[in-house]
Amino acid sequence: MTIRVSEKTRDIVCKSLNINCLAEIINRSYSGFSSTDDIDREKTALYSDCNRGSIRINTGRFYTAQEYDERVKRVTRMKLPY
Amino acid sequence: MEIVPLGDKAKGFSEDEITQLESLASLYMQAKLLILYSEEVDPDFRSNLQTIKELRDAFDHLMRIVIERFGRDPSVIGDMAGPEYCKINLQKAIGHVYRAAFDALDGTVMSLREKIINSLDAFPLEAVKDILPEYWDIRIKLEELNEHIGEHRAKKDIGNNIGEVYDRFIKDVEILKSFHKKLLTASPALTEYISKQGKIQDSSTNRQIIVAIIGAVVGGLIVAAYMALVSAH
Repeated sequence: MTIRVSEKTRDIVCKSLNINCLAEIINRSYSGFSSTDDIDREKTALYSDCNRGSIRINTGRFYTAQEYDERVKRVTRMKLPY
Repeated sequence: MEIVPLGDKAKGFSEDEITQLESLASLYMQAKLLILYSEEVDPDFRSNLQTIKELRDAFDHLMRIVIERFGRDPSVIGDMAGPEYCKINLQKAIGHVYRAAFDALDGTVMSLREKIINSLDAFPLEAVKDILPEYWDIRIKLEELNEHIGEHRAKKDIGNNIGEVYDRFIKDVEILKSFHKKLLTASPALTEYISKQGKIQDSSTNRQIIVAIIGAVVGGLIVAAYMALVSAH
């Protein structure tokens, strides 16, 4: 099964991504996760009914970049009994 | 962009590339195992999106190779197409899978650290000292690992000794896993220790009370005798 993007969609996408043709995206990296550019948990929950993906993600059982950083800080500061 | 059957273009992979692809596949299987384990051991059964992102990026580099080798339009890759392009992207894919594995190991260390601390908090240190004497060695290991959390993810490129570091990390996590298991099975012994100590403490307290009562009675008698003597004179 082939998914073909229409000419019109192709033009819109290329324009918004600031590229001349679809081929230019091959060597382009995906955006990363950071505390400023993080996953939106509310948005994930909003679309969970129509998502067929991960149950963990749909139910919010994941660490966003910010939550992960906070977890690292919290756990590494926990004192071991001495 | 279309993928054409191998026969049409007679394009495949060289021996070196096949060796690298095999390394990637083998590494991926180990990483997958560690990722699944880190999700299971997490106190809230949560996934780490950073790990998912690393796998997505690894897949992206792998697909660049597939497109370069089997895409109908070679101009898509531009001047970079060729064995070097394939080699670079394979190394990048391997790097991302390594980082996914290290993220999973970091997550596992944090989960085990949290669980070990929470379990130990329920018992006095003397009980742990007697029932789990190896705790002191594990404590050193936990503190060592704690200092290195996030270190591997901070590195953009993988070093030559990455395999060695990875193996050592897995070995250390294995030590923590087995200690955590031992801690869980030692809970009855630790509880029994506390209960025994409580009884010893109770009997010691009772003895102190009896001694205090006897002391008070004897003291009272002496005072009474002294008062009687004083009043007689």
